[in-house]
Order: sequence, then C-alpha cells, then structure tokens
Amino acid sequence: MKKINILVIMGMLPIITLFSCKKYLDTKSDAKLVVPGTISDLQGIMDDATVMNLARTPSYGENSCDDFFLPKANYDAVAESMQDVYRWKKRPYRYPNDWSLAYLPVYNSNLCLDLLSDIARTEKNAKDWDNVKGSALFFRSYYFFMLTVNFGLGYDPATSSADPGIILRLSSDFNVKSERATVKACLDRVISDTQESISLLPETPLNQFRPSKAAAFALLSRVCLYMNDFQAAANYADKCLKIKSQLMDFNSDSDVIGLDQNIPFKRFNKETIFYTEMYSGFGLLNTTRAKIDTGLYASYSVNDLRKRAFFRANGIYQQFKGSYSSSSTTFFSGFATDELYLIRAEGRAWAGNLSGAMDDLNLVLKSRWKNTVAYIPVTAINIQDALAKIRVERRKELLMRNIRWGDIKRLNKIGAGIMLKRLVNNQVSELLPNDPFYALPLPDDIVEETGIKQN
Amino acid sequence: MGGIKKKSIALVLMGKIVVLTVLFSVAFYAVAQTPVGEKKPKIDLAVLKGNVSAPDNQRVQIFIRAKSSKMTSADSLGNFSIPIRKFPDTLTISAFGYFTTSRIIRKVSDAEHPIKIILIPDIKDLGQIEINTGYQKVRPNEINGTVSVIDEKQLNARTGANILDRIIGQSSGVLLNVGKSNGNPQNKTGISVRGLGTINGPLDPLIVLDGFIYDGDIANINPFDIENISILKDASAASIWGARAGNGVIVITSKKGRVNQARTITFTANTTLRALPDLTNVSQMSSADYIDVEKLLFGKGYYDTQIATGYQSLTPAVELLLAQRSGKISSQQANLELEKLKTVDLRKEYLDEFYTNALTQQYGLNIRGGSPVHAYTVSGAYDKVKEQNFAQSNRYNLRVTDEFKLYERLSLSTILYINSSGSRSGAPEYGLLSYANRQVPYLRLRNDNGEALPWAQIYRLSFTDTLGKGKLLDWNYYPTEEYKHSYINSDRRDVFGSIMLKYKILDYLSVDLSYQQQSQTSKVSYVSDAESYYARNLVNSFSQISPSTGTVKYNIPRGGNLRTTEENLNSATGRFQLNLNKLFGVHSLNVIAGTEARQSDTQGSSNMFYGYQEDPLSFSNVDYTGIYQDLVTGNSMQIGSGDALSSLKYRFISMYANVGYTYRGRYTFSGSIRRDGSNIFGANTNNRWNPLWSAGLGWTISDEGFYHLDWLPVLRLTGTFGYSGNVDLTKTALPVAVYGTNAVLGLPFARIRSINNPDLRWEKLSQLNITLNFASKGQRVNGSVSYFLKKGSDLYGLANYDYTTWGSSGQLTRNVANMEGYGVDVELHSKNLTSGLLSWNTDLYYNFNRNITTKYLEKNINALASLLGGGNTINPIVGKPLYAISAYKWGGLDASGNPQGFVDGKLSTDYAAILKEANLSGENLKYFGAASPQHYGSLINTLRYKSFGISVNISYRLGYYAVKKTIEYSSLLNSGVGHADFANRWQKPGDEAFTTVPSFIYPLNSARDSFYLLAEPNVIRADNLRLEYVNFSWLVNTVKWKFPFRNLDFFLNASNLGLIWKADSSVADPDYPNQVLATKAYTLGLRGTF
Repeated sequence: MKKINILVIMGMLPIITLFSCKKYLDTKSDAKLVVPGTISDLQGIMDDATVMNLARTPSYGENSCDDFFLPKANYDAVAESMQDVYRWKKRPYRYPNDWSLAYLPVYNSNLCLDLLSDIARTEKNAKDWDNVKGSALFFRSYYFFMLTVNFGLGYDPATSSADPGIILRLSSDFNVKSERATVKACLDRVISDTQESISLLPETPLNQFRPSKAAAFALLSRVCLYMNDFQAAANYADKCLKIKSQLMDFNSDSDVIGLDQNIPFKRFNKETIFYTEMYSGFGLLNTTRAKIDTGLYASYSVNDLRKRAFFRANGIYQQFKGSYSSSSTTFFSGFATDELYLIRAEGRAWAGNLSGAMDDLNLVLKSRWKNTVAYIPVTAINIQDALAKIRVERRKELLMRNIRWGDIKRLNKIGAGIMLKRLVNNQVSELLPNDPFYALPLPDDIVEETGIKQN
Repeated sequence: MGGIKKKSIALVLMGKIVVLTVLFSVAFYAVAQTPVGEKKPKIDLAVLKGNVSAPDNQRVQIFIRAKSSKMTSADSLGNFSIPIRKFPDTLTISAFGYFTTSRIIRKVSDAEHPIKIILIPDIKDLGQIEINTGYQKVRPNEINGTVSVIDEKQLNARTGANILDRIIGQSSGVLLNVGKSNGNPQNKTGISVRGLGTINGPLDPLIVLDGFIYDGDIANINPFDIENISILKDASAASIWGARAGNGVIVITSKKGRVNQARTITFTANTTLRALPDLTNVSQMSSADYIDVEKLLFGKGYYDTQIATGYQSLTPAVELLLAQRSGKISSQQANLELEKLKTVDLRKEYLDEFYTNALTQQYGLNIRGGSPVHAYTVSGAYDKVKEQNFAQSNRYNLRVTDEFKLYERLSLSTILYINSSGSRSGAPEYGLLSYANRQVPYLRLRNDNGEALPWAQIYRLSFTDTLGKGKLLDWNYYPTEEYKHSYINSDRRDVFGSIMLKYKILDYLSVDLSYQQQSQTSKVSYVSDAESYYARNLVNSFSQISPSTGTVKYNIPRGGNLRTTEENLNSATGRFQLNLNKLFGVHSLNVIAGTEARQSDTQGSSNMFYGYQEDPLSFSNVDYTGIYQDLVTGNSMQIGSGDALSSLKYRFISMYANVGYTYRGRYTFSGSIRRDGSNIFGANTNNRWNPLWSAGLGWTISDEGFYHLDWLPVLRLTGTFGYSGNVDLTKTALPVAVYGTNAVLGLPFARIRSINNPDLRWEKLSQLNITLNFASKGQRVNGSVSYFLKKGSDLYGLANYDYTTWGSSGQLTRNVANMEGYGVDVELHSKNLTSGLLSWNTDLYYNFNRNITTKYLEKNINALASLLGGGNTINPIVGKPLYAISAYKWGGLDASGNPQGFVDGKLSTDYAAILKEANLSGENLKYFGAASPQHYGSLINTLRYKSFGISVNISYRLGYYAVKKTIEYSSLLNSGVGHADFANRWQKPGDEAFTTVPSFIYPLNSARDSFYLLAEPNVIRADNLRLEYVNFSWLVNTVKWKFPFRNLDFFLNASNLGLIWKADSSVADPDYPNQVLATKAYTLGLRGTF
C-alpha cells in the first residue's frame, strides 16, 4: 500500500511539471531581444542611425560624376570593377551595393508603418505615434528618391509615366513580389508621402539623425528641383528656411574647426538639417584617390575660404576634404541650409525675382568669403545669367554631397547639354546628355531574382 | 545466499547513474526469489552441473540459461546446476564484461559430466564494457544502437591536455574536420560524428559528462579523471538525448570508487617537449622578389596616394625609394640598402625572437576505495603548459565522488568537480605582424647590436617623430616588446556538481531523482600597459596640441588600457526517472521514463578602463560622449566605451521514455521517444516542441539453435531507425530586434536582427543504422561493421533572395535542400600473436562516409561554379558532396604567360567570358570530388614483449581534394601577401613549358588572378597517411625491484610525427596548407598504483 502511495506521488510529478511547462518556456532567451510591438520599440528602429542614416545613401551616380578624375597611376592601381564604373562601362555587380543599403531603411520604415497599424493612437501616445509614422514616411521617401535619382531615367514630363523607375516597396512582407514602378509613380509617391509626414513631424528634431518638418520641406524642395518644378522647389525651400536658416561664417564660426585642418568642419554643425552619409560602395570617391577636376578647383577665388576648407594638395592635384561628416572616409549627403538657399535662389531667378535670387546667393557666398577682403556681391543681368551663376555656385558649394548626378540629369533635361568625358590611356569615354546610362545598371542578382528589366 | 545478497547490494552501489546495476540486481533478486528447485519443473530429463570461472579469479555474476528452463546463476564459487528438459538444448553462459558463450547439450550423456567453462573477457577492459548512454548503463547485447567505447588505456595512448583530442583515431566514426566551416558559431569542437546531418544547423556533437549535458569549456576536463568515453552514433542517441543530439553524443564518464574496493592510490606524471617549429614549411616570397615588385610598383606611382597623405606608413624599401626620388639619398646608397634588405628573412627573425621549446607538465593523483556502504574517489591534478610562443597556461582539477547506501532501498551519490585554469597569451605567431598593413618578408626585429627596431605599423616613423614636437608619448611600435606589454590574461573556474537519490520501490522498479548544477566563471583581461604601443597610440591619437601654446591636452589619460570581459554561466538540470527491469521467464523488460527540466543562464559583462595602472591599481574616467579629432587624420572620433551587458537564458523541458525488451536473450526490441520544448525566442508555442523517436531491433544469431559456426561463436545483428528534427534558435517566424545604444547620441535603438519568415519549417532528419558484431573463437578477431544512412529534408541553407525586401543580408536562411549521408564504420580488433612473452594486437578502424545533396530547392546559376574555391564551406549541389571542389579547365599558359581557360571549347584568355560560361553552363569546369575525406581511419599495432610494449598509430585520410595556395597578385599588391610560387612565374617566352604560374603584370587583372587560383593546376589530391604516435611502455616489475607499488609503468610517447605518405608532393601537408606545421612532441611519463 505504502509503495503504491509513493508510486502515485511519483506519477503526479511529471504531470505537475507538464502543466507548468508553458510558463517555464515563456522566458526570454536573450534579454536584449524583443519582438517589436510598442511605440518605443518602433522609435528605436527609427533611431538605429547605423541602418537609417550612416554610410547609406546610394553613390553610384556620384561615382559617375564629373567633379573628380583619376590620374593614370590611380586608375591603374584600382580594381577593374572601379575602372569600369569610372568609364561608364556596364559591369555585373552583386550584393552588397547601393540597392541593398538603401532598401534596408525602406524595410525598417515599412515594418514600423505595418506595426503601427496595430497600435491605437491615443491622446497619451499621440506625439510619439505621430513621430514614428512621420519618420517612417520620410525615411522611406528619402531613400526612394535617392534610388530613383540613381536608377531611374531623369524626369521628363512627357515620358515619365512610362520610364521605369525603382521598386516601390510599401510593405514589410517579403512575399510581396518586387516590380518596377514608373519614374512618375516613384516621384509622386515620394511627394505625397513626404507631404503627409509634414503634419506628423516636429519642427526641430531631437537630433539631426531624426526627420523633422524642416527635413521634409528640404526633401520636397530637392525633389521638385529634380523635376525642374522651380516654383514648388523655391516654396518648399522657403518653408524649410523659415524653420532653420543658419549658415556658418567660415571666418569665425564655432563649428569650423580650422580651414586648413584635414577635417575643417564639425559634425552636426549649424547648417545641418538632416544628417545622412553616402555609401562608399564603388570606392572611386576615396579622398586621396579622387582628384578634383582642375577647372572646377581653379574656379574658386583665392579669397574664397572654401578653397582652403574644401581642398588640400595631393601631389600636383587637389583632393576634397570639406565634408560635413567630419571624416576623411565618408561624405555627408543629407540636407543643409546652404543647399536650400541655393534652391530658393534658383527658383526665384527662374520666376524673374533676380534681386531675391542674388540675395540668397550672396548670403551663402559672403559667409564663405575672407572677411579681411571686401566681398563684391554677385549680380545678374537677366534670368539666364542669374540661373547660370547660381548653378555654377551650386556645383562649387555642394561638391561631393551626392547632388551633382541629379543636377546633371535635370539640367540636361532642360537643354544644358552637359557632356561627361573621361580620358584613360589616351582613350576618351563619353557620356552623352540624356544617355540611357543615366539610369544606372541595376545589381545583376536583383535582376535575376526578381525578373525586373535591367537598365 | 547471504553472500550473494551482499554482492548484489555491492552491485547496487557500484554505478553512479546506476541503472545498469539495478538491472542486474533486479534480475538477481528475481532469480533469488525463485531459486532453482523451488518450483520443480514437471519433467527434468537431467540436471546439468558445472563450474564457470573468469580468468584471474575475478568474481563476477554469471547467468546460465538453458532453452528449456529458467535462467539461473552461479554461486560465489562459480558452481551451478540447471535442469534440462529437452534434448538437444543450448546452454548459454553470460556475464557482464565477458563474451557470452554457449554449449550444445545433445544427449543425456552430455549432461552427466560436470562442465567447466572459463569466460573470455569481452573486447575491452574487464568489467568496463558497459555502455553508458548518460541515462542508463546497458550491456552491449541490450542495446541496438551503435556505440563506440574508448577506454582509459586508449585515451592514454594519446597525450595532450584536451580530452577530445584523445579520441581522434581511437575509435570509428569520429572525424576531426580540418579547416572546414559552415560559418556556424555553434560549431566549436571541430569534431564530427559520422559526417554531416545538416547544412546550416549546429554541427557539434553533444557532450555529456557523468550523465548531464556539459555546458562548460571542454578544456576544463582533465583527461586523467576520465574512465571511458562512449560515442553514441545513431538515431537512438538523438532520441534519447533530444534535439541537440542530432550530431551524435559523446558521453564522458569519470573514474569512481567502488564498494568494497580496497583503497587504491594511482598517480601519474608526465612531461611533453616540443621543439621549435620549422618555419621553412611556410611558403614565403623571397625578399629579393618582394623588393623587386615594390620597386616596380613605386616606379608606376602605385604608392603615390599613400605617400600623399604624409602619414600613412610605407615599407622600408618604399621609404628608401622615396628618399632616393626626393634626392635625400643617392641611388647608389639606395641600392646598397635595398641589397642589404634582400638578405633578410623574416622567418628567421621570428624564430629567433618569438619561438621557444614548448613544455607541458601534467600531474595527477587519484584515491579510490569503498566500504560496504560507501564508495569514494578523491582526485587532484595539475597541468602546466608553456607554448612555443611563450604563452602560458595552467589548470587545477579537484574531484570528489561519493556513493552512500543510506538504507536498504535508498542510495545517494554525489559528484563534485572543481576546475580552475588560467592562461596568458604569448608572442605573435608567424604572419601576425604587419608593416604598413603588409606582410613584408625582409623585415628585421633587431639591429646588429641586438636593439629592438621600431616598425611603422600604421604611421610613418618620420611623421610620428615630428608631429608632437617631442610633446607626445613615444609613438614607436616595437614588435619585439609589444607582446610583453599588451597581452590577454584569462581565468576560468568551473564547478560541476550532481546529486542523485535512488529509491527502490519494488524489486524491479526504482526511481531516480537527480539534480545537477554547473557554474562556470570566466574572466578575460585584455591588458595593454602604459608602455604598450596600443595604449600609447590611443593616448596620442586622442591628444590635442594647442597651436598657439604648444601644450598638449590628453583626452585619454596617460597610462595603460584594460578591457575585461566576464561571463558567468549557470546551468541546472533536474531529472526524475523511473526505471523498470523485470524478467518474466524468457522475457526481459527494461524501461526508463522520465522528465527533465534544464536551464542554462549566461550573464556577461565587459568594461574598459583608461589610464590603467596595475600598481598602485588605478584608472581615470573619460568622456565617452565627447567628439574629438584624431590627431593624425583629423577624423571625428569618440572614446570607445567597452561597456556591454548580456544575459542569455535558455530553457528546455523534456520528456522521454526508452523501452528495451529482450526475448530469450536473443531478440531485442528497443524504442525510445522524446519531446523537447525550449524557449526559442519569437517562436509560437507550438513550434517550441520537437518530437523525436527511434526504434531498434537486435538479434543474437549465435544464440540460435541452428547456429553452428564454431569459428565465429559471437554474431549479433542490430538495426535502428530514428527520426529527429533540428531548429536553429536564431530563426524565427517573427521579426526579432536587438537593443543597443547609439554611441553618438547615447540613445537606445532597436535593430532588426532577423527578418520575419513565417514559411520556415523544422529540419527533418532520419537515420538508419545496421550493425553486425562478431567475435571469432578465442577472441582472435572481433569487431563490428555498421552501415548507416542519414536523410535530411527541408534543411536550412542560405539562399539568394530579392534583397529589395530587406537589404540587411545578401542571402536568407531558408529550407533549401535535402541531403543524404551514408557510410560504413568498421572496427576490427585482432590478436595476431599471443605466445607467453610476446603478444601482438592490431586495431583497425575504417570509415567510409559520403554526404550528398539530393535536392536543392533554390535555383542556382550554375551548380559547379559554386564549388570553385577551397571546398571549405558547404555548397549544396545536387548529387555532389557537401564539401566539394571544382576547378576551371586548364589550357596552360600562352606565349605571354597568361593563363588560359576555355570558352566554347576553345582556348581563351577572356576571363570575363570564362567566368560567364562557368556560371551559365559550367562546360569549362572540371569537377574533382569531395573536399573532406571519404575514407578515413587508423591502424594501431601493439607489440608486447615481457614487460615492454610498443604501440604505433597510423591514420589515413583518403579520397578527397584540396586547393593549394599559390601566388595571388592582387593580394600581393593590396595586402602585401606574397607566395614562394612567385619565383616560378612565367618570365620569358618558353617558360610556359615548365610552369603554370602566370606572369606578373601591372596594372593588375584580378579576373586573371582569380581564374588561375581556381584552375586545375592548383587542385591537389589531399590523400595522406600520417604517423600519429608511437608509444613505448615499460611495466616495472615492482616485486623484483622491491618498489612499494602495485603497478608502475613508464612510457615514452612521440606524436605529431608527420606524414608517411601524401598523394601530392607540392604541399608540405595537404590538411594544413600554408600553415606553420605542428612540431613533433615527445612525452615522458610514469603511472603508478599503490
């Protein structure tokens, strides 16, 4: 009898254990892990600057630009893949690349938007809820736009509704098939999403990694300029500058470390509206490798402090050192007030407001001028003259900011006829205005996996 | 009867997990309660009497069965009597640790004379041939699974401080994977049991110590404490040990005292010496060639970008060339200096400076004994190692085991194992030092006066000398001194304890309640004292020199740098198990069933201290949020905070049952089932439970009445089949984010670690195993042959995907492939000669193993192209082994020294086209074969003459290929890594007849380079024969010499003796290409017993 009692008790033990199993197994296996579900988790995803901001914006276009060149010794020393990019030769390339880098923040944004739909917006969480949604819409739009500039043809109102753009991924579900949208659909989406984000975002962000109203206006301004919609571009630039308008005076600003220093500017300086960095994928832009176009360098006046701040001698040529990233290896590619002044200037000039345009231009240039030498303001005799002067200064000011490729594309669409040339081993390579190559080759593995059309 | 009973009580206490002994005692009680004669059979035709004894008068329990009557057992003197009820009948005599023998009784007259039988000890040591599965101990004929047991003697044949190193080549089915990886961090041991069962899942066998999963570092275990190791190889291993056991289980059992054992003291001491390594085996480009290449590149402006920075370091030759170009020295001077450099060989410098003779000392003491109610072991060991590179380590072990018989039916056993070890890193090994980020062969470490020379590791010496204008810390890097000031100390403490209560409810039913706790603390300190370059460089880089006053502001305080990481692992297992052992006439039933809960908890932390000083102990606080400019580059940087915390908690709940049923001692059926649940993060509850099962059949053919092969008295056939699954803990159906802190902002962020993939399924694995065990008459030859077939489906693999959807990785883990593995394990043990003074034994282990992909669910561009390369990673290609090699077909060098491949069947030097064809059709590729041995094993011959013995182990690895290293011009240029093949390159027309090494061209053509690297001439057959060790031993005649020992033997072991034969002579060792080969090790030792 006694034995049977013991048996019963022993038999009970495993049964009791079974009942407590579920709870026992609910413990988290890694304390750092979380299945994101709260507003703060989502904000945490948006705040992952390494994924959302740093060394991330597509740079194939910037690598294909005319602001720099490779002397023969440098050209010989680089890998053939880089040589081919340099000469605008199509060459197969695979992961990792601009495409994979830029679509990761897109995924994060989509995940936040998807998860946000399960979280009720209440009075208590409204501010945080809005910030996540606004941030997600902004980030996604920002990267969609930068991808479109690289992989879509330039915006042409006549053909854009047929020209292939990029893949507009709007959900975090990876089972949704990737398909290319038209350039028009891409830009329309960017504009409408960014517009929606404006009402959700704060005027000034907690830090410059985070999107803000000013950043959203800046993005819209850049997009509209890319579409040669000067009026809208100027309007958005104006709205942005109303929130943030400071410029660094290169003579004395506290954010200038030293004009002759290798790194002249502080990171997150007062001009920075929204901070991102360029991906260094193809590697041509490496500061010591890429030599600045000699004509471009010569166009800076000796009293233009940018000549000291932006460049340093490298052999007989010049290398660039003036990035707002405070680094000699990565380049700033976000939004800063100088760009917005120049967009507004271009918009004002186009609308015939020459004095307004020149005011904006001179404001920027004066802040870069040696203060011991009198600054003679730039004037314009007509719209064409104003536009030409603004565009020259735009190239000089926004050097290595991931802007030139988009500028070449949009200006060629309105007849600028910018022709790119490379001289390598006595052979000339050319890229004609509006060449189909302006929609840069897509990664080959993406073409293989998705079946989308290669550029 | 009383004596017998006592013995059975003794048996109860013998074991630790004790299930086996329970089986015996239960069996015995059953017999004792129904003694012969109590229930008289109706017709006894005869009563057969006899005597059974074991050699050396060992007392063992002996069971006697006749087909026609019940089992009985012999008394303490070995006498027995058994009724015979029919003729002919077969008498079967079995005893634990001995071979079962049988006699055929044909007629009455056969039964009239008492028979005398002397038992023959089974294969291994007397009494040791119990197979420990960790949950129970069983006899070989009660298990259907395939298990290899490695006893103490075999473990001692190899030397070395790591227990796992000692099982290689001492059993079948175990392979040391050389240079293979599947990139899985869960693969730590490098050992695989019966090849692969998964592509992307964990590959390590499960390690079990004294009945419980061992979570600690395997290096903690002292080989001296180990009694034997069982390797469970088939599906029954997985179904008894659960989901983590799919790759086999290594069950380690430590030495324990026995009840009624006289106190025994054993000790061991040995010393291993290893001479300096032979660095000439390492292929290094000659200094002259290297300098010529640098000269050429300098002339082409290759270094100009680097020179332009002003601070980036340049190699000594480039510095000389630059000095010449800028007119600082004459060309005559430059040439003179360059010629001088050409005579330097860095390998010699390394050898003189950083290498010494290695010395390992091991000491151990073990005291064992027992009274009728208590058995104990106390052992201690101390190991001290000085490596060839001056690295040092030591280890202390203390182990106490006890077994108490508390009451008639209740026993308690405890094990406590305490280890403590420490180590300090040594000098840099060959190839670790760099100059200007390059592997330069003509460097010197000291000048002619023996003074340490500074190396320009990152910055040019001329730059750092002037930068601080004398205000900064010395910025020179001295490779000869650095390791003395910058080193890693590690300390580890491990306590492994278990306690088990065993209560015998009924004679045939017992219950075990056991609990095990392990706690391991490891602490690693990365010390860089104030004199180290590491610390000085850090301080200098973060310094700011005021341009006006010239004063220096140190943002990182002067002093050393200390980073510590600490990890505490605590694991606990509680187990409740019911054991049933019952004999019903010819039926024997053996059941275990239990539940187990297990938790493994790891807490980690790391800290960084700046301005660290050891004596007096101090450090300074720094500002982690401040942004500073690098003094050299001007780049923004922050002071790195080494602070980190981690907390991992894995939980498992398991339920298991194992049934063994034996009919007439001949037919065995076994089955087991197990279900594991774990707290996989992000998984739904349903997916947390993983069921496993296995079933087996065994048939002792030699016990059958029709079996009459006298020359083969033992023949047993077993088979098992089982099913298991595998889930990777990092793959989940929900997106999982990991939290971190942004260094720039100090804000928390969440990063998606794995994309949500609801389509992921469990890997499914099945394994079939068939084994034939046999022994010839008189045990001249015995052994086993096993065949196994493993099938895996829905295996995880990395597959390309549309990364537009995520972008964080180029490939995703998916269920991509099915695979099949099959093979044969053979063990043969033969006694070739046993005549009085002289004996000669041979042990042969042979394994054949093939894994092939049977189905690949992802589209490939071209299958063969993905096999180009080293064959060191798994590439699932249908019909091919998991590790395999293909190469570009080779068309020789053309008249200008360019390597030629094929495009459309024609010779071509268009490397892009060659690559394209390889990817599209693969027509221009040649498939070679497996990259891991298909046939491997070892042959051990042991000769004994009088008290002298010699044992020689030769291992063989056959049927595989390897890719040898050669000169790669792009890595020569980009990272300065050369290769001696440079000297054999094509240099002038006509050379193509003698060499396959392409000419050196600049600008580089990297496609040409990579074509050559992966082309036919660089694939070699890796087959080899290796002399693993030679062991001499001398058993001292303690009586003659009047030593106070019961036993004393000396041994001399020589290991790492190198290759005896290799299929390809162009590499020093195909298994270790381009590595410093292990040097021969000599061990002298003694073992004694009081």
